[in-house]
Amino acid sequence: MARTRRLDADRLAAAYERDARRLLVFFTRRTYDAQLAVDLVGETYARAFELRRRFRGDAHDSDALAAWVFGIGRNVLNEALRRGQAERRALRRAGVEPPALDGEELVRIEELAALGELRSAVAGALAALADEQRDAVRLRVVEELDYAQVAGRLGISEQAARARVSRGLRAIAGALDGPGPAEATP
Amino acid sequence: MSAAREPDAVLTDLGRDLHRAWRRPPRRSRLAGWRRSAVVALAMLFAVPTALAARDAIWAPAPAPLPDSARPPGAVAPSHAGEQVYVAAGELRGVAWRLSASACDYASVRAVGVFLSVPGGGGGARCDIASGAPGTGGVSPEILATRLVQTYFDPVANRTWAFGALPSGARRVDVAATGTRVSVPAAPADAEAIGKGDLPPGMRVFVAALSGALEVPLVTARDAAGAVLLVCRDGRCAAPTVQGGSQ
Repeated sequence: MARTRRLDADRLAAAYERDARRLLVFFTRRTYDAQLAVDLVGETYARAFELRRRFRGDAHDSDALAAWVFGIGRNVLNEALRRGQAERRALRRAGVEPPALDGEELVRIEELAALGELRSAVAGALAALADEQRDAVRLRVVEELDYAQVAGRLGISEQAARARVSRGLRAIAGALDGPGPAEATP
Repeated sequence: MSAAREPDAVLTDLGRDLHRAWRRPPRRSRLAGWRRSAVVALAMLFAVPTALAARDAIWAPAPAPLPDSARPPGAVAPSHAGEQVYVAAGELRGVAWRLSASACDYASVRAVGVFLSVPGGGGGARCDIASGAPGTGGVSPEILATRLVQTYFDPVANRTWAFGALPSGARRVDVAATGTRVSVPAAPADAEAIGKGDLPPGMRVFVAALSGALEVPLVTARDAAGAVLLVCRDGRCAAPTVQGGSQ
């Protein structure tokens, strides 16, 4: 039976070198905040190190290791979005302070994540929507109304409101898929 | 003043600090082996009864108070917030889990927060983070009340957990994740816990465990006749529309 190789500090450091850039882009595109994204990268890997003995895959399997770390990253991101700030417990336990970024560094990370293109692509896709779809998407997504309320505001049936929102979101989905994490890998 | 770093240089700095911390030798107890064993044995004498007592307790550890700085702009405090109570426990695919819940009332709106604890950590939501100002990054009590389903990726067991609180009529829950789908029962929450936690009467709960790190875009709760009671997309639940409810 093949023996799986355990995850140690060197193997995790190699994974960091391979995947951290992708994770940074992933966080930046979801938080629109480059400093928060750097903090989240640090917290994710700090937690991964604390949990390394529980990684059940083969540490030489870079895909399995990346999926495991990204799973931790998703938890870290969800916590941050819920709390409105980065959680740094594992970083603190490791005694690591994430780098503080100046204005120019923030801009460079935003460029790496193509935030400008993302914003303009979404704005462009929104502008290209028919008025009725744009209104429905705005009410549902920006104002967070439920479909019954969207329907009431627009004077249409709930089914029609769902259809408008669905079609509108499908139309702008391409913009969100733009230059993704895969393209950020060196 | 130093020049601005490229993103790769920022990551290199962070990676160097992390790697240095990881290579630091762990602190070791200065107690010799047999002494350490004796201390552990003594500690067990005190700790085990406490742990056993805690396992049977209804009261779950309350989440730490949320600092004001972490509250969304325009945050509103609930008019009533119940205690966090354990509502169910079990084991799925060899991993023990425990589910706790709390309820918050915002005038006529009731939000329920559920939290799952597993050996590899835990995740969920609190019910006291509503914001009264739409569009400011927070969520209104009405939106919070629709968030009955949560997910948590457990890195220890490499499983994605989906779990939530459901209305009393729910009997079965279909969980659709990326590339897979499971159906689990909606079990009644502990009746004593419902009373003590002032949770919705007859509340039911479900817990599902899926292999790997997955997104869970759709959860559907059905009643005893198989009719759809609740459709939860990306964690936000609503009754199905009359026209397109069944799926």
